[in-house]
Amino acid sequence: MANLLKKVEKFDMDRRAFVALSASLGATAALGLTGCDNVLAKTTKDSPTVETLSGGKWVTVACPQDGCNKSCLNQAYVVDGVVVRQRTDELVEDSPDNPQYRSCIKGRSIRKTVTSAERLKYPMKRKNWQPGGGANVNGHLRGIDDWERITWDEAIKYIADEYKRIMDTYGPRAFLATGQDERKMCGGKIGSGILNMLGGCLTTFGEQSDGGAPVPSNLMWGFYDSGDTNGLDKMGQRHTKLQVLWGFNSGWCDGAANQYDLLTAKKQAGTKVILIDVWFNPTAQSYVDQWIPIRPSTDGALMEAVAYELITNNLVDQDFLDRCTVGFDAEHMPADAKTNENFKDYILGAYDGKPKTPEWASPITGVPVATIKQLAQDMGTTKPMSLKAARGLTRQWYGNRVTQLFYTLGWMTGSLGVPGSDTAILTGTWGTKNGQPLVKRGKNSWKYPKNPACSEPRASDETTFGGFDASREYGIAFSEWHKAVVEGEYTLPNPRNEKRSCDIKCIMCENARNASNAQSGNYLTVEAYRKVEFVVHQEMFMKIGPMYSDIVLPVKCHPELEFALRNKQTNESLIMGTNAFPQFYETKDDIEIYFMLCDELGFGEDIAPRTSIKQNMFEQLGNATVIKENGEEYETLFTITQEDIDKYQVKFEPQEGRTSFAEFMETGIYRLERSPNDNYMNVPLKDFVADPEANPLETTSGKLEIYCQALADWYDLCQLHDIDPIPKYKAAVHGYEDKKNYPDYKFQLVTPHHLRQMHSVWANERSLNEVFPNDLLISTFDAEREGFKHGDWALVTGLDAGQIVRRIAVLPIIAPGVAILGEGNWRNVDQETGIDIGGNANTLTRPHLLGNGYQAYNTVLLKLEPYTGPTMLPDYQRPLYVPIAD
Amino acid sequence: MATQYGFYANTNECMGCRMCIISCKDKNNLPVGEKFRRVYDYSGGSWSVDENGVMNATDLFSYAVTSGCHHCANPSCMEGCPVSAIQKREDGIVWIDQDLCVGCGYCVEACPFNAPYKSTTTYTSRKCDLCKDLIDNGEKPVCVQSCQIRCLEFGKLEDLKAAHPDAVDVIAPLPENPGTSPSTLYSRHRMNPEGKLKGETRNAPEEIISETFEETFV
Repeated sequence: MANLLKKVEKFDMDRRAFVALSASLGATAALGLTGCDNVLAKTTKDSPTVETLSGGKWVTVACPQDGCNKSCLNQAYVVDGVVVRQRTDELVEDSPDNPQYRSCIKGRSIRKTVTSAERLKYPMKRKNWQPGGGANVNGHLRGIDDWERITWDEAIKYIADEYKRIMDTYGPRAFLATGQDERKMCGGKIGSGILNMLGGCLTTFGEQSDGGAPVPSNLMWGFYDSGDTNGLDKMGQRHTKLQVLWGFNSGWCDGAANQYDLLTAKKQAGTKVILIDVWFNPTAQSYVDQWIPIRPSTDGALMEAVAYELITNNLVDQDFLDRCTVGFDAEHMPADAKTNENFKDYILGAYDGKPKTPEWASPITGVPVATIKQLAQDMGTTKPMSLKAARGLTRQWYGNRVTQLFYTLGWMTGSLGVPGSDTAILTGTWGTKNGQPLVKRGKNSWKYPKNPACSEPRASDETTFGGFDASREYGIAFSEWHKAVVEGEYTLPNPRNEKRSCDIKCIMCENARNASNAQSGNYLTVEAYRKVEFVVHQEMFMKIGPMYSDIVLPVKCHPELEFALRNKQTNESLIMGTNAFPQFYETKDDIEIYFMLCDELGFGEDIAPRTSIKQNMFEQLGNATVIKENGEEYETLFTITQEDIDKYQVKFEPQEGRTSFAEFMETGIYRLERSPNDNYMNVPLKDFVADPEANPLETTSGKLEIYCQALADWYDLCQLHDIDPIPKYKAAVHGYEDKKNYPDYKFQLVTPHHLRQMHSVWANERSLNEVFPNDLLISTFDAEREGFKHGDWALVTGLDAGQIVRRIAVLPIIAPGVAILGEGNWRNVDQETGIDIGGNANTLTRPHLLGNGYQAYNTVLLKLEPYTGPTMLPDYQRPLYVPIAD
Repeated sequence: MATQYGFYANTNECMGCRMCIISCKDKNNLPVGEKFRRVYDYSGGSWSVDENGVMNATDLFSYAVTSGCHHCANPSCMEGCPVSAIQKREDGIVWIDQDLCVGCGYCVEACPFNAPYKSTTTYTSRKCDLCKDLIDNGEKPVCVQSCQIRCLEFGKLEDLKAAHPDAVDVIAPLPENPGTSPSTLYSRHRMNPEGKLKGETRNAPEEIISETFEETFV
């Protein structure tokens, strides 16, 4: 009876709460339903059934994350403006050749994310911040201050006035725009447009995702497109007899969208799959035959030993090397070489007296000599071979050198040019024919003014592509910006490697990119944000950046936009999401905010054309093309009628195309059918390998450059890091060989993407937190020695970096000495201790500056101590952060 | 009985992505803390590092076991239900009638697989009903329909047995002799082909239990 009473009481309470909430929202009662998912769940006794799924319709929604390189199909069932259920691709039959685009756990959680109680609802101002600079800023209260709800008009005026004041007083170099180069949660690339119009700002340069790969790739191959050109596609993969995966975990990358294709290819071709990684990762669990455990940042040593075995056992594809490469041996040196060193003699020990034998590499890498020999035997004798590395491999201290060695290994085995062979460091899992998507979205007319004070973000890709102009202002390296704000100077990539002073007064972050969770050296966040006069963030949630801001603007994400187009690396489809969710409180999309600021500051259509998201997306669809059956030419994808144009009220001309636009809009997806015998298969560098002289690459020699003088010259110019013209392994700073210098730091940290979150997006989704903890993973071997048990909490210190508290998971599938923490947890600084109780991986990484500004996320030494502070809650029970309750 | 529906789970291919849990939670509107399905991460093996720092793993294996209600042929949960709220349909689906259940928790104790749990939001026992509404509509259960690796299958148990003759009834860490004739088949993992290697379940508590908690706010 007591139970029953409690039940009634509970139900009644929930009902009252629900009614009160709905009433407070007045006319937008439907909003209450979505905004209050938990209450609904509590009042619903039985599970919803098919019967309850009536009266609505399935709507295709865009995945909110641009950072993922796939695009899966997500649909939402909408009844009276309320999303009551989700599903993934049920529109076509599922088959190995044309599998359904089934989404990952994140995609399936879109409705939870969009309707989360933690969403920012209103523009807010920090209570003790006043405009005008000086003492009224009260910067020391950032992160602990109260919030005031303000109107959009007030927020826009505050921002516009502060921008003008700071620009007039200090000039453009007082601004740091940290978030403008990506489109994480919104519909368009608008850049730091407003600041550019006012006079410019400092931006950030360098690499996040691609690590040390781009510069060596661009100069050794003549291109870098994250595997689009030199990677196999899913049909080509079915010809592979041996897959060698290096630090590759497709099951956790890009929402696992291609793991099924890889598995299918393995089963169809009877492929053997070998993984070299610091853990027996989920991908390995799914389909790998042999795991070779290795220590972090020692991959180069293993590669050199495999090269030694290939050379000394006569397993090298000499014909390929002679025809297609330069610098392998003394007989094939490039004309521009400034040294006499070649790779073969280096490996055999001709220059340093140390042959790079398995016996030499084994103690460094931890890999047994016999295993190294067997790996070389497999790689040298099984053809066609597919050699794949994830970009995470190159996010180590010597990501540049490991890139050189990795490619060289692929070329020594002739792993290019025939179906089933590739040598690629990949973004996703696949390349595509000629490196081009089979379905291409079209151009749009969106523009924004260029930055007069600094290069565009990421150095406009100049440095990435091996260019460099010492007279240009590239801004502050990603990894250094927190430090630069605090210390008032930053490092220039130039021959003198000098510092330049900066006095940042305003930090602005658009597009919910939240640079402070994703970049190394973020243990300086608090000091950096508290130092300046004005911080503004556009965000969906109260992450670390907005938490230390003065004005916070609540933004929408893709599934809330009228149109949101996705295609990315699936390359065989276009997916168009439409808005399935009602207006969520006072949120606005980034473009609308941009236009409001333009209006406030008096910038007209001539400078900032007010092209709507709808018009922009329509242009991208109207201009979309699809590959013809011959596999060479492209044709217009959509037939667009005047009726379509009128319906969507956009500017466009009617046109003929392959398929009906109206039909596309009904399902929200166009997919190109594939078959094993179609003309779309990618055989990487087929023409070049067949006749290198007739089809030269865009390298200095026209060939693949094992000896690459241009690369050595570029590094001489930039001076941020060291490299040699031929691939050479070097022990990393804070790598395994360095560990002996820091006896308390017994672990090497690796920070992969975790499947439950995409960077910091979804990291607060509590159902995902519940079923998929992101604990610090360590080996059973170390746990026994160090006295840690599964489920213990540890105080974790990164060498020369910050501290976090994190729960430990003890697993036998982690190599000894290795610690793994998925990146993206929200940094949350305890005000008393300065410790990050949110467990963000980049609190543990350092603000170093390497290569073209890449970051060594995976070369970190770690100290673990038992945690003795106040009781910690697992992520799924973390208190909800709702700054202004409604 | 005319039919017995069941599952086949290929642990040799499952990567433990939790999609089956998340899609189930979405379909059944389960609050944070509650779930009808679990994925057990089961792994074992030992390491040695010699004086040169060379690492060797012995008997290492790791696989994921998805487990919800197994819609047993002899459901122990049903046998003792004091209000006969648990029923087994003609097609073998075992389900709890939420209008009859009084939340006594008998079934929670009786089930060897921890499938039912006492919900602190509905004050009834709840568990997987094999998406009987979808099945009646000619569709598949959401966990199967959403599986990214296609390693979870649904069908008539006899058909699944014929298609996967090497599959076994239970796999560690599930109880070895449940005595209830469960209707889920499992394939073994290639790193533990005969199931002889013993390991440990290494999930966090919240992955295994089903219970809600009081929300806190800051």
